[in-house]
Formats: sequence, C-alpha cells, structure tokens
Amino acid sequence: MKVLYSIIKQLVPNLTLSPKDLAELITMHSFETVIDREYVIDPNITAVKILKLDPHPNADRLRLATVTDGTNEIRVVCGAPNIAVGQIVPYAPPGAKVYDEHGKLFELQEAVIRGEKSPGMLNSIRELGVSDDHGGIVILPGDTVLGSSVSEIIPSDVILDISVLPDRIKDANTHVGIAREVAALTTLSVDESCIEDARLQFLQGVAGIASIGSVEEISSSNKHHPIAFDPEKPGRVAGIEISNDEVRDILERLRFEISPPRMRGSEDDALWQVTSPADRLDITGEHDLVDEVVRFHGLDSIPPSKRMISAQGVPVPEKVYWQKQVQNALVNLGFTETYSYSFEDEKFATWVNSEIHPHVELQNPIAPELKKLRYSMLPGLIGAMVKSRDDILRNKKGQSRALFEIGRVYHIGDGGVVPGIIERPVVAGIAVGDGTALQQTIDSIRELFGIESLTVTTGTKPFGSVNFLKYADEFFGITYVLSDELRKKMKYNVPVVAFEISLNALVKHAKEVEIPVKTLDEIRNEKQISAQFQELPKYPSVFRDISLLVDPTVGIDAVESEIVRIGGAIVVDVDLFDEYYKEGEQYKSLAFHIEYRLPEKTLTDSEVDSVHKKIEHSLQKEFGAEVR
Amino acid sequence: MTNTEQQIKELGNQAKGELAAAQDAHSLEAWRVLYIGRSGQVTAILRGVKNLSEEEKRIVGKEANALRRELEELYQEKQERLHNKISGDRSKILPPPLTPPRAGGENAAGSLHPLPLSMNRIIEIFSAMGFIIADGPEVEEGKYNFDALNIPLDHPARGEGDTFMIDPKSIGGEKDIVLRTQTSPMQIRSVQTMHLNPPFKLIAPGRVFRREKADATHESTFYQFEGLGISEDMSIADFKDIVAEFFSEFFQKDVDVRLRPSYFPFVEPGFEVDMSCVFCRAENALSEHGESKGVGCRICKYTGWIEVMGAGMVHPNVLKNMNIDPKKYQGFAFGGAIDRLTMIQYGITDIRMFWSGDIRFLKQFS
Repeated sequence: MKVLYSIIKQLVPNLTLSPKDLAELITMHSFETVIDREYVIDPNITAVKILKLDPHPNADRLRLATVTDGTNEIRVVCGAPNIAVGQIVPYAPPGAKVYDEHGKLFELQEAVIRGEKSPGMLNSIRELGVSDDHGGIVILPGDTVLGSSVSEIIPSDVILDISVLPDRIKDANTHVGIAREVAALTTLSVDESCIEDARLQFLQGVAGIASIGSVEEISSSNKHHPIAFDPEKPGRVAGIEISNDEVRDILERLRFEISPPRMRGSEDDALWQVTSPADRLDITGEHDLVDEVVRFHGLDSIPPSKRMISAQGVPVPEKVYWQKQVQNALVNLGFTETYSYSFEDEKFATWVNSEIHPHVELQNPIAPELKKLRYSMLPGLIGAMVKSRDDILRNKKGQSRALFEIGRVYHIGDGGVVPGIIERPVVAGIAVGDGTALQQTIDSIRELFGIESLTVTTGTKPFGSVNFLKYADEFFGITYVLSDELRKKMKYNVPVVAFEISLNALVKHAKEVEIPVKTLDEIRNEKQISAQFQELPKYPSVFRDISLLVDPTVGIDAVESEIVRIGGAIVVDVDLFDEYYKEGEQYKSLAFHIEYRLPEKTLTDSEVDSVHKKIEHSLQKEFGAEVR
Repeated sequence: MTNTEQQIKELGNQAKGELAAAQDAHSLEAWRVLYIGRSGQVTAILRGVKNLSEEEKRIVGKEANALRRELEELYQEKQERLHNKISGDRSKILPPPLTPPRAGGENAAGSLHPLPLSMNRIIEIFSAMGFIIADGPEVEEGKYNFDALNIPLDHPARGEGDTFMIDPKSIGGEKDIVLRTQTSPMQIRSVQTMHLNPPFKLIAPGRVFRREKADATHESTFYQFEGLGISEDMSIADFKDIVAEFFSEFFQKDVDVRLRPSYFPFVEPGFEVDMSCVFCRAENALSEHGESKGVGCRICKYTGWIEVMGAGMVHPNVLKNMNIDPKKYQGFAFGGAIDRLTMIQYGITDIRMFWSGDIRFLKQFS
C-alpha cells in the first residue's frame, strides 16, 4: 500500500521523523515499510489546455497537440493515446527536468520528432516521478488554473510502500489507519481536522496512492466485548520483564480501554478487562493483546535468553542415522547423489513398463505428463543418467559413473498412515557396470547393516533382467541389469545396472548400534564443504585428443602445464586418459583429452584447430615430443 | 551393388577385423586415425560424396554414414574395454587400485547432494540442542495440512491453486488427500503418536509441495524444516537464543538475528526472522544499537540482513488441536526453507538446479 509522507505528517502534526526513520520504525513494530520513491516536480511544468489535435504528417502513431496556458499557444508532438481536446494536462518546456524510465531526472531539450518540432512535451505520471505508469498523459482536474505550476497540485513528496499484514487490512489500509499506528508508536496524536481530500483523490486515481480513510470509526458505537487479560502474560511470552505500567501505557496509546482503571500506588496484578477500539477487528483474544504489547515494546529489544544452547543433546533417530551411513557408503563407492521429483516422468516410466502398475494420481498436476506419483525410483534415475550421459561416458579419470537417490515411492493401499496410500522410503542407485559391480554394491550395503544372506528370485522384463531380493521372507529390494534395448534408448553403449532397496527393511533388520550424541562443539569443529557453486557453462565444449611420444623422463605435470599455458583461457581442462611404457623402450606414449570452451560464445572448428596446432608445436619444441 | 558400395563393404570388414585385433591403446589409436579420424579412410569417402552423381550420392552417403556410426560405436566399446585392461598393465607406472573395480567408477569420487547435506547438518545441530526429529507422510490428509494449523477456510493456501490434490479415483475414493504444503502436519502427528507432553522441542524436516510455476527462486518441490518448542515458559527470548545459535553453527560464523512483526495463521505474535548477512557482515561488528555499519551487498539487497525464516508464538487454537492447554503452556514455532539456506551457503543461484539430475552440478559438492 502506497502512502504519502506529507499526508502522514499532516495527520500526525508533531511528527519529526524523516521518511527513512519512519519507515524503519513502522517496519520494526508493525509492517514492513520501504521508501518507494521521492519526487519533485519542476515548477516550470505548467497546466495547459488542449485546443487542437492534428495527425503527425510523418508518423501514424504520433499527433500534434496545440495547447494554451491561457496566454500563449504552443504545438508539441505527443504519442499518447488518451488525450482529447478540452483536457487540461501538464506541459514541460525545454529546460524543465523530468524523470526517465529509471527514475532519474534529465533536462528536456527542444526536439525534432519525425520532422516536426516539439518544444517540450506533455507528461505522463512517470515523467512527473510519481509512479511507474507510462500508459498515457496525466489528465488534471477540470478546475485547474491554466498556466499554474503542476507542482502546486502535486507538491514534492516521498511515497512509502507499506506491506500491511493480512489481519490488519481492514483497519490499517488507509492514511488514517497508518497515522493511528504511527501516533501510537510515537505517543503523538492524530489531528483529524485538516485532510486534503482533493489532492489525494486525484493521486489515488493516477498513481495508486491509498485513500485517506475515515476518522469517524474511532467514535463508532460498535463496541467489542471486553477480553480478560493478564498483564503479566506479555512478559512471560517475551521472556523479559515488562512492567504493568508499560503494558497499560502501550494499550492505552493504541486506544484500548482498560478496566479497572489505574489506581495510584496499587500493585495492579489482578486480571484486567480490555476492550479494543471499534476499528480493530483483528483483536479476538488475549494472545492478540500480548502481540500488541510485545511488538510495541520491541521484538528487537528482547535479548537471547542464553539458556537454550546448554540444553542436553539427544541422539538422532535410527532412520536418520542409518540413512547417513548408507549415503556415506555409496559415496565411498563412487556414487553421486541426485534428487528427482516425486512426479513420475512419463517418458522414462514407459521405458521400464511402469504403466502396468496403478499409480497414485494428482487431480491438478503442473503438467499432464507429471500426473502420477512415482511407483519406483528407476525412471527418475534413468532420466538423470540420460541427462548426465556426456560426462559419464567421457569417462574422465576420477569421473563418477553412478548415481544414487534416497527418497519415497508412493503405492496404493491401506495400512499406511494416511488412508489409501502407502509411502515407502527407498535407497536406489544406477551405475555403469556389470553384474559383478552390482553384486558388490549390494554386498557392501548388506554388510554395512550387518544383514546376512538374501534370497533371490530371478525374472526377466523387456527392459532388463530383474532379481527380487528378500530377507526373512520379507521384501528387501530389486536389482536390475538393463537390457540392450533399454540401453539403446538411453544411448548407453556400455552395461548399466540398477537397484532399489527398502530403507525400512534395512533399518528393521539392522544390527544394534548405539547412536552417539553429538555436541555443538563437535559439530562446530567438523570440517565442512566450503565449495562455492560454479555456474554450468552456457556454451558447449569442444574436445580434441592429443597423443605424444616423449622421453620416459618427461613429467606429465610439465606437459599438462605447457598445454594450459599455450592454450590460455580457451583450455578448460586437460585430462590424461592413457599412458603406456614398456621397460627398455626409448619412449613412452601419453594421450590427453583437451577440453576447449569459451564462456561467451560457441567456438568454431577453426578457432579450436589453430590453438590445437599451437599446442602441438609447442610440445614438439619444449619436450621433443612426437605428436601422433 | 555399385563399385563404391562394394568398396565400402570391404573397407568395413577390413576395419572391423583390424579393430578386433587391436590389443593396446597404441594400435587402437592407430586404427582410429586410419579409419575414422580426420584423415581416415571412411571419412575420406564421406568427403568425396559431393563429387558423385545424384543417384550415387544418396546411396553412398547413407552407407558410408552407417558404417562410420557403426565403427565409432565399436571403437568406443573397445576403448572402454582396453581402458579397464590397461589399468592392469599400468601397474608398472601407476600404483595398483586399492579395491577391485567398483560400480561408481575406478578412482571415482562420489558426492552428496547439497540438499541432504544441509538437511543432515540441520538435524544434527538441532539434535545437539535437544530437539526430537519428527517424521511423517508427504501425502497428507487435508485436516492435518490445514485445519489443525488454524488456517481459515477462506485462506488462499487452501485453494486448488496452491496445493496438489490427490485424485480420489486413483486411491479407492479417499477424499481430501493432498501433497503436504508444509511440514507442520508432521509436528502435530508426532505430538500425537509419540504422546508428547510439554516440555518438548521438535523439528520436522522434509519434502513439501506447492503448485507453482518453477523459476529461479520457486519450485514445485522443496525442503522445509519446521520447529516447535513448548513448555511452561518457553519464550521469545528462548527462541532468539536457539535460532541465533543454529544459524551460527550452520554458516560457521557468528551471526545475529533480528525479529520483526509479521502474520501467520498459526502463531500470534508472528515474526519474520532476519539473519545478519553472512557475505558482507560476518566480520563487521554491529553498532551498539544493532545497526549495520553501512555495509551491504547484492545478496542482502544492501540492507545487511537476509530474511531466512517465519516464526512466532504458537496460537492457542493450534495448541488446543494438539491437546495442549494454552493456559498452562506456551512456546514458539518456526519454519525455514532448506533450499534457501543451501543456496545462500553455496552461492547457488537457481533453485531448479537441485532437481536437474545433472552430474556437472551434483559433483561440485564432494
């Protein structure tokens, strides 16, 4: 909600706070308030009447407006669609200062627009600095004196933007509503007499400024019921001392009526009866009164109690503990953790025949193909594998070629916490690898939990060979060796395997552990990952290989450094992918992938070729390398 | 079959034969250069296609391309196999791998996703302060998602707009089932199922859903953690204490918090929690009135404060819904977005990255 600082000052005459300080005061005690803008209208901008409108000879959407300030006539070019003969509008002559689209003042020059002179311009409300609206010319009130300065109708001011909270919309969404709040905050009083209605109404229309509001409500006979109120409660809720005197003072400043009235010298600790003013429809109970007192006292002046951080710690729950163990185990096996939506991606789901299972469905999905909740983790993992294919298949040294995800799948049935649905947490993974690698991964997880052998039932599906795993005759998990057909769809020409294991089954049959209690000190001293995220590149990389024969004593680091040095910024990565030496031979062979990329554009082949050649020459010179 | 087609076929057979015979990276590289490299024989045929007649262009182009693709695939597979084999032969120069080849990739470094990374830390920090960790369903009953939280019937959050509703037809007719929009339902369930009586402190971290168009700062799926602390005298001062400590631990620097008035249906008084900007304010002391000393950066919009949480003192109606007597007990509730804290911590600029499945993003957190 936008209010004018000058109107607030009129309503609270003794207010001395600057707009900035006022915004801060309201923010810290009532509503988030910022300065929207400050504007000054050049006094040389005057009110003129449109006498004639002619089409511009050289531009369809422009017109020539003949205007008068009561004495002189002038003709300007105007592109606004909303002007008509007889209207009174603002006119800025050359030399006058108006606002541009960034809210900065600039000096108007006489211009020639499409061949027609325009000594000055007619103004939109944006050019006057009052709002961002640039849709048309400001139409001034019909009784405006021609030739008078527009700054007399719209004096300079500061606009405050106040985010009135939803429960106060009814009483605080006007200038008077805010003035009352400000008066209560500053212990000043509201002057109900002199309200400039005309100006405000005009600005309401053209600039979205809030209305003045009505002062009569204060004396409305629509009274609320009194609320029983314990004056000690605000202090208890805040956790600090707030004296009864202060509580009374705050409530009275907010126009609440308190009974019994203050009695000099008495310890007023019995329950009070508090009646809220007629306009405060948001006050329904004691807790609302506590809020009034606490926020006026100042949330900021409540210091931390310092008694919570020495509380006794507790161990994390089993499920949390074991989940972390599994995560770490998979990371140590070289898996990269990923997350996918709970909504099943239809495309990947059909690749694994997921449609044969009935799914929990949404009535109002974000998109029709995301209507189902996932029945299995596999489609999401396949999707991530496809997304990351370039990096995974490039197989740079140290590149992780496996993904895992711990999340829930959603099945239909009873017996869950919510009728109709059973949620099951699952540990799932997918990896480049064969059956042996798959078996190793399952074994590692089993051993981590201290679970002995599993019973296996094999099966075949169109998308792969599938093993169902059971422990103690209960469902444990499923493993997959993806079929050639599925791998082809994924464009993976290497073997791929996957697994899904029930986290509930793991935790249920896990060996006994004593989960340690961590202290804040221990956590504080743990080394944390300090990575700062690197934006993913916008433009594609180009990869070239370089193979050399060099003397066996030549260091790989030296060669890499030289490549980077010669290549400069365009070389993003150098990766040794092969090295071969046989005892007794005079040379060893090295092979590198070189990744070329620029952040600001796609590289052309010739650009890459020329750098690549330079690198080859340099290696020949520096190391006596034979480039193959 | 034309002459050229015959040539292509023979060339293909020859190439495949030699590829099968290649035993090491040397010969493989030589093979590549000979057949599918820039000056390779198959490549040369493709280059020559433009000099053929219209008729021949079509056929030869198709055959040559098919051969090139096939050879490239075979080459990749061979390369893969040789790479694994060579690792064995490399024992002369490089130290042998310590473990047999593993599914994640040899010498591969795995990594954790930044969201569960943050979530684990949040859980550990709060556990160290004595908070129980609550758990609960992601697909919830409407009454737990809205009613118990004092959210009035006409609140916009209840509309079809913001909340994902489950189609009753898909779950045997059960109505008023939704994807939870916050984790507060977990708190209420936990209080019930664990028969919690005050004093207690608990947090409920988990996945929540809002039906919103995704952009750099909004997603349909994100992670929240909501907390509750109830006792006979749990106060705002206590809340400030906990929250300042939490953020200091999480960001591993001393931070200050400030509260300012706000509104949520389930608390009264309600507040917004701001944290002193960890980028520009960490080392700078506050003035004695808690003002930022004229510092500021883009992250905190030059105010020196970052908005991090909504909170407040639990509304008596909500306490009653948890069978807790509001006359005897009081306490705080708070909620924060794990995504937001994670983005601040690691400088991630687009929330959609968390769901991208892109290993180039995921591997940055090892």
